Amino acid sequence: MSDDEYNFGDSAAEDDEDILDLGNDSRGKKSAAAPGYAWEEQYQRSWDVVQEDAAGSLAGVVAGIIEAGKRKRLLKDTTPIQRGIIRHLILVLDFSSAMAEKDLRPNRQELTITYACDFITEYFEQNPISQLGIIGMRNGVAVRISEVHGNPQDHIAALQALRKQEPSGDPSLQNALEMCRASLQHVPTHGTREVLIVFGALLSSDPGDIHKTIRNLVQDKIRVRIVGLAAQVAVCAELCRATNGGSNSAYGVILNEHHFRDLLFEATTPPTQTTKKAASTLITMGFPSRAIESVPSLCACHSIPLRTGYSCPRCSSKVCSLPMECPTCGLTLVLSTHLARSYHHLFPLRNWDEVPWDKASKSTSCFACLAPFLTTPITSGKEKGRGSSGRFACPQCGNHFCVDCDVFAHEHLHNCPGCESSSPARKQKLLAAEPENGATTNGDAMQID
Amino acid sequence: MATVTVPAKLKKKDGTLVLTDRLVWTPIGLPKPECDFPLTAVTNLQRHPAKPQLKIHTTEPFLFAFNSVADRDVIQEAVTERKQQTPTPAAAAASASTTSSSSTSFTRLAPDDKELLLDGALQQNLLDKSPALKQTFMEVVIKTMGTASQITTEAFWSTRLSLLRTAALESRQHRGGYNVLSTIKPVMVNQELKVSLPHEKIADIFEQHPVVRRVWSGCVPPMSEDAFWSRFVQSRLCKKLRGQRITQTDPTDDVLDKYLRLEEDPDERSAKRQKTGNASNTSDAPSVPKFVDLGGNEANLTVSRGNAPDITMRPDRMAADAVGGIRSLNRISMRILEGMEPVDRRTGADKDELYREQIVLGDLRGEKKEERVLLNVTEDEARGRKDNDTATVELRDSQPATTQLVHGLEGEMSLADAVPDPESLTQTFTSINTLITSQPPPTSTHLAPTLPLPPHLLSTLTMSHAATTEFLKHFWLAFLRKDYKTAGAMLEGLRRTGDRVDKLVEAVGREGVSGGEGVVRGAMEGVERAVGRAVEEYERVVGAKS
Repeated sequence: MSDDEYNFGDSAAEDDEDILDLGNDSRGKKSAAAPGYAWEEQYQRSWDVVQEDAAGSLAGVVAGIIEAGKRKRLLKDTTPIQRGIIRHLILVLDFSSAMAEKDLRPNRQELTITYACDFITEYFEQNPISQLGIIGMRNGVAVRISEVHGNPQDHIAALQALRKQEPSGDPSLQNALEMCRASLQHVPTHGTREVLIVFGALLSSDPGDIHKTIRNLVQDKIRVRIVGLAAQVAVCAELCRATNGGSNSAYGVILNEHHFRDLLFEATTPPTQTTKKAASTLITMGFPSRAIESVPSLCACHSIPLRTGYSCPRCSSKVCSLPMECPTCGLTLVLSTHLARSYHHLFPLRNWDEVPWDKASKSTSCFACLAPFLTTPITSGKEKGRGSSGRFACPQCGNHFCVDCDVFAHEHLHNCPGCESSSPARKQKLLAAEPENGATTNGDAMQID
Repeated sequence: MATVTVPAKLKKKDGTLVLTDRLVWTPIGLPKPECDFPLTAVTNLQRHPAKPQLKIHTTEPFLFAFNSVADRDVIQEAVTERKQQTPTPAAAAASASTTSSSSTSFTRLAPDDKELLLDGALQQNLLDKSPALKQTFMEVVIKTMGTASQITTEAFWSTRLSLLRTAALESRQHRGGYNVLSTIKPVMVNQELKVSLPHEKIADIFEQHPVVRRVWSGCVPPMSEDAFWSRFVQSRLCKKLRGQRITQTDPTDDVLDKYLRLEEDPDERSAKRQKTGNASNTSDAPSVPKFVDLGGNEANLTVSRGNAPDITMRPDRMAADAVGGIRSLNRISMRILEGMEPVDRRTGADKDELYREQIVLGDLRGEKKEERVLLNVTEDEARGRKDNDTATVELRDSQPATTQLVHGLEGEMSLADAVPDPESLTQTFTSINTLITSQPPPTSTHLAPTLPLPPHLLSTLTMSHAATTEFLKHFWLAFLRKDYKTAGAMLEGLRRTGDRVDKLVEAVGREGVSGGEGVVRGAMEGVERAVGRAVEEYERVVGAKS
C-alpha cells in the first residue's frame, strides 16, 4: 500500500468521469451499482481490496484472493477435438546479446534455461511418445544444442551446460528455421512438426530472404509458435500467422515471469489437427514387457550393462527404457501407460458448473474430500470469492465438489471421482430422482451394521 | 532468350537460319523449313578452319555455309551457350528464384540425402570427431570389405543420415551482413584497453571498408600488425568510418590521419555524382549521363528561391561533423545490402495476389476461426465403457456379499488358522525371498553401471556388441524390405559374432579376470537372443518359400 508507487492514482481518483475502468479484465467483477459506461465508474484501486479484519490480520483476505484466482485457469474449451499426439517439437532458444538484459531475474538467459528445463519435463510427461530437439541462436548462426530424441535427461543436461556461456551476437531467425526444417524433414506424416521459439531480441540478422523461408515452412507443414520476451516483432507475427493458418494465438509476448511460464507451458498441450486426413493410417507399435536377469547384459541402444530391460516383440533385442525406437528393427516401443497419458488431451474432463445458492442445499460436504461447505452465504460484501456457494457440480453425475478438488481433478486427475464411482444404472436413478427429491445424495457412506 | 537470325546456305541453297530453342533453316522463298530440330538433339559442332562453315551433327550432319566468319561464330556461340543451359530440366524452369545458380545459395542449405551420402569429407570429419563411431565403422565396413556380408559405406551412413545432415548444416550456414566496426569494443583489462580481433572480423572489416585495406597495405610492412590495429581502433579514422563525430579532443595519429583526407574522396565522388543526378549512389557503379533527368526533376526542390535545403541535403557541403557521419553510415548500409541476396520476385501470375495482399486491411479482418476436427465420441465410449457393461451390474449385486464378508470378520481370529501346514509356509517364505533378492538393487540413473573388466577388454566387448547391433540393424532393414538375399548375407556376418565372443572369452580367461567368462557371456546375452531370433525368423520365411 505504498503510495509512492501509485502517485498518479490518488489525484486521478477524484475526477471519476475521466478515468477508464482499467480494473475490469484482471480484477473480476464490475461494480454492479454504477450503471452506464465503464469510464464513468470510479477507478478501482487494487490496494483498496485488501482490508484487515477485526484482529488485524490479512490471512483471510489473502486466502480469498487465492481462491478466486484458483478457478480462473481452468475454464478452457473441453470439446473432444482431434489432436496430434505423436509430436516432434524443436525448441529454439535465443542466446543473442539481448538475453543479457536483467529485466527478468537473474537475467533473461538464466530464467529461460530454468523454464526450458521445466518445460522439457512437463512436455515429456504430457506427451510421452513425442520427441524434442533443441537449437540455439547465437552470433548470427544456429547452434545445435541437442538432437531430436525422446530422452528428457539428455536434453536437460545439455541445457544446464549452457548456463556458463555468455549470450552474444545477434539472433538469426532464418538460420534457425532452416536448421529446424532439415531436422523435421523425415518426420512421418502421422507425427506433428512444431517449432517453439523463445525470442528475446527485437531484430533478426539473416543472410537471405526470410519470406522465402516462411513459404518453405508452410509448404513443409511446420507450425511455429513464438514467445516474445521484449515486444511484438512484425516478422515474428507474420511467421506465426502464416504457419498456423491465419490464427494470431501462436505468438505471445510476455508481461511478467508468470506469464512467461504460462505461455511456454501452453505448448505442452498437443496442437489441434486442422485438416481432416483422407484415411486413418495404422501405426505399428510394440508393447514389450519387463524382464529381470541375474547377470547384467548390455542394452542395444546405449551399450550399458543392466539387469533389467525390455525386449522388443519383433526382434528380441534388449532396450533399457521406454518409450524408445528399437535400435535394430525400428519398431516404436511404448508402454500402454504412455498412450494413456496422452488420452486426457483427446477426451478432456468437462468443466464443472458453479452451483447457485438455491441448489446449494443438496450437499453439506464435498463428495470427494468431505470438506464441509458453507451453509449460508456471507453477506459482508467486500470479501471476494465468498459470494459463491463454493460448490461445483459435475454435469454428468451431479455431485458437488469443493474448489480444491475441482482444481486437482482438472489439472492432475483428469477424472471425476463421482462419475468413476457410480454405475450407469445408479446415474440414471440420480438424474431421474433430481427434480422431486431434494434429499442429499452426496457423501453417503456404505452401510455397515 | 533472343532469337538469332542469320542468312546461311545448306546444300548450295540460300536460306535463313533461325535459332530460338530450336534450330530452323528455311530456304529463301519457301514457307516450310527444311530442317528443324531442337538444340538438345545437337551432339557436335564442327567449324571449318578456313571457310565460314559450320557442321552441326545431330542424327545426321548438316553443313551450313555462312556469308562471313562473324556470322558463323555468332551461331556457334549461341548454340553452345544454349546447349549449356538446357540440360537443367524442369527444376530450373519451375523455381522462379534466381538464387539456385549462386554458389552461396540458401536453397541448398538443406542438403538432400544423396548429396550427404556422397560427401566423403563430411563423413571423414564426423568419424574423426567421434572415436566410438570410427571403431564401429572400422569393424563393420572395412573389415567386411570384399566378403559376402559386406556393409557398404553407403549403407552404413544411410542409417545415420540425421547425423550427417546436422553436421552439414552447421558448417554451411553463414551469418547475415552486419556493421563490423560497431561490434569492436575495446575492453578495459588491468588498466589496459584490449580488443579481440579474430581473422573473420578482420576480413569483414576489409570487405566493408576498402580504405582500411589500403591503409593496412601501406602501413603494415614498417609497423607490426598488433601496433597497427591498436592504433587504428583508437584513431580518428576509425571513428569516422563508424559514423561518429570527430571532436577536437580525439587523439591524433600522424600516420593514420593522412588517410582521413583520403577517406573523404569517395564522398566527393558521390557528391559529384549526385550533382549530375545519378540515381545509384554507390561509389562503385559507373555514372550514366542523362539527357533529361526525370528522377532529378521529381526530387527537385527549388533551390534558387525559398529556403536552402537542409544541411544534409546539400551535395557540395563537405564531410564535416554530423554530415560525414551520416554519409559513412549510409555507405555502410548500402554495402551490406548489396551483399545480400535479392528479394525473391514473384512471378507475374502472383502479382495480382501480391497487390491485393498489400491493399487489404488485414488488421480489420478479425480473428480467423480455427478449423478443428471434432471427435464423435460419447462420454461412455471415452471412458472405455461399453453399453450394458455387465461388470458394473455385478458390482451392484455384490453389496449383500460384501456385508456377509464383513460379518464373517467379526470376532476373535487366530493367525494360525490362515496357514494349513508348516511346509507350505516355508515354501512361501523361500519363494518370496528369492523374488526379493533377485530384484536388482535400485540404482540411481546418474551413475552408469560398469562391468568388472579391465578397460581394453571392456572396449573390445563394447565394440563387438556395437558391431553385432549394426549387423542386426542392416539385417532387419533388408528383411522388412523383403530383400532376403541381403538379409542372408547379413546373417553370415552375424554368425561370426559367436566366434568373436568366444575369442573374447578366451582373452578374458588368459588375463585371469575372476568370473570373467560369466560376465562376458552375460553381457552379450541380450544380443545373442536377438541374433537367435533373427536367424529363426529368416529360416521360417526362407524355409517356407523353398
